[in-house]
Amino acid sequence: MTRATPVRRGLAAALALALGLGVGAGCARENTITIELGNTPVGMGISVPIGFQCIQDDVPLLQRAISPTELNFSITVDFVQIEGVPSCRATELYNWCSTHTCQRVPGPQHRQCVDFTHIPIPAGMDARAVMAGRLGALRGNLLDITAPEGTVLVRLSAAAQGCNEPYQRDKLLGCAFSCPIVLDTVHGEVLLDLPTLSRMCEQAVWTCASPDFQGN
Amino acid sequence: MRRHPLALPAALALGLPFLLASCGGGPSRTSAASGLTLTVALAGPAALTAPLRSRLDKPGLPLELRLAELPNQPVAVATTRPDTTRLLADARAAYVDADLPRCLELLAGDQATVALAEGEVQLAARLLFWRLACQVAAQDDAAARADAAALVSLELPLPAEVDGVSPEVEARVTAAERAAGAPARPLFIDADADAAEVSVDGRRRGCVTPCTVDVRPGDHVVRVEADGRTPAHRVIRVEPSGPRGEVHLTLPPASPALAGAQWRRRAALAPDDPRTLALLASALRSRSLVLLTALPRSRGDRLRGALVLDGSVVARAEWPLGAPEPQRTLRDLLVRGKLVTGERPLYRRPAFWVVVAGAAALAATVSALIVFEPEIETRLRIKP
Repeated sequence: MTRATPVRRGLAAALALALGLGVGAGCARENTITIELGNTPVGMGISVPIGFQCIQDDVPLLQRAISPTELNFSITVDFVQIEGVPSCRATELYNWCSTHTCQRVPGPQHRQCVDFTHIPIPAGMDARAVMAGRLGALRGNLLDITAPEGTVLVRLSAAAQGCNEPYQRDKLLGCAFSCPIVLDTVHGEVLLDLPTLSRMCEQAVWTCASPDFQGN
Repeated sequence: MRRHPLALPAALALGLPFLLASCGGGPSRTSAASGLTLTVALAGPAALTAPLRSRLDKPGLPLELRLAELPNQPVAVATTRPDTTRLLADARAAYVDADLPRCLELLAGDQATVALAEGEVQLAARLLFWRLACQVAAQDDAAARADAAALVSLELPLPAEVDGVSPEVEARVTAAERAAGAPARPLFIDADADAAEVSVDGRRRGCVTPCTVDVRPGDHVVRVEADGRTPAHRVIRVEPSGPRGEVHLTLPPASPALAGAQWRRRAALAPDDPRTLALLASALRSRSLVLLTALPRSRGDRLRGALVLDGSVVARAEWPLGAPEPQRTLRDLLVRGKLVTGERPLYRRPAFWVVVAGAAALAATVSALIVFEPEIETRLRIKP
């Protein structure tokens, strides 16, 4: 058996390195972002974003999903495309979208909606706690959704209507969104919440969940 | 400034061939013509050439070296011609003693022709004149007429001894001059050597072969000589009418002794002339000759070299005398003359191209990695 000369060994190593680098370069990189939901307690040890605890005329918005003995609602995760990179402060963000085009990222691959129908309300159980429990059931799940390019807001909303029904703001139950981010550059956690100091926050939910992020 | 993490490997990959190139690398390989003996001659002041000679004795060249002495010493050339001065004195004495057969015997043959061929015009004139005098005294009219005609046609001057002989001798010459009234005739002269120098009747005619000269009708001695050749001569008769005279001479190669003499003559005038060097090679009987000439210079002595192969100068070079070693100097000259091959250029080495190819592949890959942005697949998970 002949032994490889140093030149041949060097060449083989260079080619192997080049091949390895080339193969490495051809692979896509995977980036996993963890969505953290705001933690405002609703009692019984359950927390949901405050955007899901808004009340209107002393009636919680969540009440809209309650039939006498069961719950019917849907939860949607989608993205709002915004032009540029505005601040995360709520008022600035709303003002930004009044002067720029902000819209839901189109395409089914950028939206995931889950219907919750005929969810029974156990006797003696608060319907909000049941809904919070369903929200909590989403925790840990990997979303079947494609992250879009560009600067977006990640949005989580709930409505007392099915996934295939047209948007009606009177059916909204709650909403939370993230700061403007470019998803491919984010590593770690992204917090979704509704920037409000009061539970009198139906207007904020309308704005948050609307297609144009302007409440329309 | 933030550097890309792959910038350094890329720079290394791109710079690797140039790094190797600057290192040279690889042993020198010299292939010599097998069985070739290189004659080396040294010229110049002995104080400069002596150290060179001792260093050249050391081995280290891929050829067999033969150090040769320059043919500076004249070599005695044996001659078959008798002592003509003595011969003329004897002939004159025989004439005075009226021993005419003895006189004619001494001066018989073509001694005058030989003398003319060697450029001895005065000697030839005396030989012919005394033979004419003896023939006149012996009353050999035909022979006397022929010799007188020869003196005229060869345009030989009458020697000073003319006053010591019968006035009839000079009268014969005068009559011959009157008889030779025909105009000059062209004589075409050629040889198997280009630009060979032509002499007619012992006088250089300022022309080289092939050329045509005008001569009086009659016999003439044509001599042709060229560097590296043995001179040749021939007696040619030019008729007073009819076609022009023509003579073609063949010049054999010069003997080493003759080539040495020719080299000495030329070297005094143009030591670096290619013909001079070719003569030296011929004199030293060398097909491959290197002449190293040490030149004293105020700004540092120099060593000038010339390589002569088969009589042609194929390479010249000049270096400082002190360095490099004479072997390297010689090698440089031999490489320039393509007698041996020097170090193979880097680009002709397979390993170089292997390294270049590898480095290019590596550089291309690294560059691609630098400019390539892999697709990012972002997935979202709700925090447990």
